[in-house]
Amino acid sequence: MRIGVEVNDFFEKYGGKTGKFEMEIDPGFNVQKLLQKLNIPQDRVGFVIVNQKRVDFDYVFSEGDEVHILPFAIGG
Amino acid sequence: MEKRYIKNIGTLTCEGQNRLFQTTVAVVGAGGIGGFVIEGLARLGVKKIIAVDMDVFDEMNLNRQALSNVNNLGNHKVIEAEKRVKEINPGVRFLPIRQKACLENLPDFLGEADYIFDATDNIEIRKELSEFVQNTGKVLIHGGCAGWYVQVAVITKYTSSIEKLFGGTSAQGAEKQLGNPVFAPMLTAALELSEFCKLISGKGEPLVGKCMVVNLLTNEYRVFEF
Repeated sequence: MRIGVEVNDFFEKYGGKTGKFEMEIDPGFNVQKLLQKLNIPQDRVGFVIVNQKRVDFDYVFSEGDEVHILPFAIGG
Repeated sequence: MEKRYIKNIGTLTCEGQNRLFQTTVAVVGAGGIGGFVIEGLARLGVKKIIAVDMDVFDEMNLNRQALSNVNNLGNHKVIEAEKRVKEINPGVRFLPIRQKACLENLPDFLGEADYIFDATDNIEIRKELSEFVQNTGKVLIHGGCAGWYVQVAVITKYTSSIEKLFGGTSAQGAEKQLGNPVFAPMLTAALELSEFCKLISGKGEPLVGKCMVVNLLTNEYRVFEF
């Protein structure tokens, strides 16, 4: 099945893909596996948003999900 | 209506402006975001500002903290904030608190405030502010920034807690690598202040239980639920 992915430019430094793209995934594929595949360290990820809602790392994707991965902005 | 408030009217109604005159607010943190928030609140014309921050100004603050200047380095931020507020709008009462905010002292420090502005820089105190407003029925306007990125949300007793927003992770914020040039706290403060005015005047769609993230590099903003 296919999902839409958008990775914030902040994660460019880790060498994986950033920007907007589509991905073909197997059933049972979750956020944690996506982060591994994209080479994004989990401890740098702030929000994972799926279809305009924040989800946890164990969220399992469904066909057509739109995923957005971005860091926290928590400085003052 | 005093002449100084005329340019607020149109966006705010006279009723909304009058509500501002009767509203006590607290700003936790008087640094990057807090300095601009305090300046904005003085110009909006709230009844009273309670500002909590134990720090003094340092040279590293000059790049972004509106209340810092080369002559007040080493001075307490909240005392400098008080001077600035009195210069801008002597009609606004100001209570400076030179202490570190924590869950135990929040009822004493912030008990009088209706709205609390998050101008802090760490997740722990934000969780405590969230717990406090959810126990007391006050409103927390959360904001944070990192380089090109800004996030803003509103927490009340009817929304999820900020812990839900942060998802129980201890992820480092992007500011550790990107720093914070002046436009980041400036924009965060502007968004916190406009949320406040929306809530006060009952206009638009405040970010209650929602978070808005802004990416200045791609000119995009998004709103999501948590």
